[in-house]
Amino acid sequence: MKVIRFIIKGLTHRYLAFIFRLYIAGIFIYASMYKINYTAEFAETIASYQIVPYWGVNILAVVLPWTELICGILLVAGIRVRSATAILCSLLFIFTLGIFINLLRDSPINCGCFHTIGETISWRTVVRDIIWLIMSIHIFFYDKAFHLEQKFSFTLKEI
Amino acid sequence: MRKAEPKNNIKRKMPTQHAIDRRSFHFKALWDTRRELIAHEDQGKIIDIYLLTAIGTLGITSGFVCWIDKEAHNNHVTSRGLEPGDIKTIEENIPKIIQLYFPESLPQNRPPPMEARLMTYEDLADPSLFPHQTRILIQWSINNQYLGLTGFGEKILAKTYDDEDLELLRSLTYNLMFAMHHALSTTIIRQLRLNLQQKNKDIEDALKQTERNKSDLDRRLFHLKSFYDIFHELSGLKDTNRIMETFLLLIMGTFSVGQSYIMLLDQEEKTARMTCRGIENEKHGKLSQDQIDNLIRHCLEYAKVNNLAPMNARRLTDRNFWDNTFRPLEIKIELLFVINESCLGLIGLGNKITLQSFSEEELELLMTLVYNFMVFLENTRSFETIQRLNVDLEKRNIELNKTIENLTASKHKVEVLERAKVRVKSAIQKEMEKTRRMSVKDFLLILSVSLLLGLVFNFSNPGGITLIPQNWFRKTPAQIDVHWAKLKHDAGTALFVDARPVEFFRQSHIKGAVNLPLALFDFVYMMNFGDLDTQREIIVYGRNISSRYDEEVLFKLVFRGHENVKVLPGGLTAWKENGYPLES
Repeated sequence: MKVIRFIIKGLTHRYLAFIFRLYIAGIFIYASMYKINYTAEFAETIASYQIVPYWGVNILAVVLPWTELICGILLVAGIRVRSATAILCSLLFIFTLGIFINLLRDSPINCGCFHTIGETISWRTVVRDIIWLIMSIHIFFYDKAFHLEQKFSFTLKEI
Repeated sequence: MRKAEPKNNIKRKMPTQHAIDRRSFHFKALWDTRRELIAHEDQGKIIDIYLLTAIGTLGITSGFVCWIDKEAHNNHVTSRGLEPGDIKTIEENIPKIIQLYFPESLPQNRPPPMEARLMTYEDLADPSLFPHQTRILIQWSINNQYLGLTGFGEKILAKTYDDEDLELLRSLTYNLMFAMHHALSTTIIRQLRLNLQQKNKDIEDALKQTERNKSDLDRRLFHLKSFYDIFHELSGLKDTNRIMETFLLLIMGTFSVGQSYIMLLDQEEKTARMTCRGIENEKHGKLSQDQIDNLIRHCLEYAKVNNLAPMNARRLTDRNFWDNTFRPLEIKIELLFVINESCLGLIGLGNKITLQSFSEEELELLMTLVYNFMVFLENTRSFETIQRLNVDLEKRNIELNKTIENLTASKHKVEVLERAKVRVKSAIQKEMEKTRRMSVKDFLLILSVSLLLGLVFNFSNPGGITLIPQNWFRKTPAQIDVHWAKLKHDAGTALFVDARPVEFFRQSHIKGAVNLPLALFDFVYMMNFGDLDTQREIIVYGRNISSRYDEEVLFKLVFRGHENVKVLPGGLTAWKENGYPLES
């Protein structure tokens, strides 16, 4: 029981959540760099998933990278972590679902997560995204460390 | 009882010379007896004379007189010629004699006052009460208090008493009664005179006492008046110096003193206040601080040595009191009084104007007045202390009011700060709670910022994309039905172009179709379609929910000069559904 309790305590530790937070934030910031610079290619990637209507592909390609970037920055800074994490969880869920659907369709498309020409989607991609999703959920529930806005609030409280 | 009646016997018989001589002798004896009895005031002596006269005149062997004082219960028996045993018999029988011959219940048995009754031996009710030789008994009384009983024995010469003898005895008895009455009256008068003299003496003593009392009352009145004057004068004063001056004047007037002083010493303030009258200023001058300190120390030591408690005073009789210290003047009477542990003083009085010495009463009055003076002095000092405290209190009140005003202002500030604190705390709390929860506002904010940044960046980026699909602004391209397309495919008159990405083309495409992906249009067109006839019919297919590849490629081909380009709307899906040939 002690081991289980220790494991549970370790798995739910705030610093583990903090590590996950930095990791997820880095991934999304990194991914957003390519998507922001290559908007047209990212729009092609979105279209290749055949989920978004053609009239919404471009606007999504314009907005989505910035959303990832902002959420990544918020995660790094520790500001509105839960809201940012919730958005990232939603994105990861949609991405995972899109890959899953396209795998079922047997569509020969690339993942498009980081580069236009990248790895083709596979079940490994799905597993990877699910791992990231779990990390994000962990962040949502257990992340409490090094929040910049909490630091700001504590300073006010001390005042 | 039978009374003898000698008068009738005298009248019946003719008097003889012997009888005349005898009668003359009796009268003479009566006269002498009367004179002798009147001359005496002693009752015993009178009775003695009476007895001796009766016995001697009539020649009787014995006789007795029983003298009874009923109220005083004082009975005497005087006898002549009786044996001691007979006398004792009479004395023992006196109560019975009184009961028998002077009964209270039968007044008629008693002779009236100043009356005498003669009884012979035969008439006696109880002869055993008297000596056996008793022949005549005379019952007589002065008044209800003084009674008498006289008894006579046998005559020496004759056996019986004749009438003249009885008459003589009766007369002697009357003389005895008058003499006894006279003696009693004289005694009473003498006693009254003595009483009167005593009363007069008492009255004189009372008058003297009254005089003394009057004098004492006058003195007391004077003391009271002095006390009242001092009380009246001092009661309205609230200043220590004025009380000292007023008291000094009053005691000088009361005791007629020409010189006096009062000195009040305060150990805490180390001061000496002095008031004097009748003394030249040069004599007392102003004391130096050292003199004051020495005097205070000296007086305190004296009070301690003599156990002088607070609110007490003592006359200084010690001649050495002023040794080595300052003395205001040569005084007659000097008092040290102690108000409390730190305040004491001296009162000195010089000689009287009359040069008389002070009496004990005056000293007593002086002490009383000094005690009164001490009370007023202490009250005044207390009043002065209270006044000082009031002034301090007033200052403190002013300071307190200022403090209260400051406190009120501070309280107001604190309240404002408290409200601000509550608001800040609430805001912080809210912010902290916000960090712990997600909100729609956050989502909207993040998405809005993302949209704004994306649009701005896309607008300013040379490689930006159009947000609105371009085919919405173009004319609808020419389309061909899937069946017509099949006919043309079979006839080989139309070139089928697959506009989808190469991965999809590789996966499956219409048999004989050529891949011209939109992303690589320019490169592939140049490589594979450069020499293609612009009049050749081209059927473009490849669209899905997210992209209209066919329309984009069609417009690019048209832009390249191809005039007969059509779109297969159903695309590969409709082709598949109709079972037309595919290849991969």
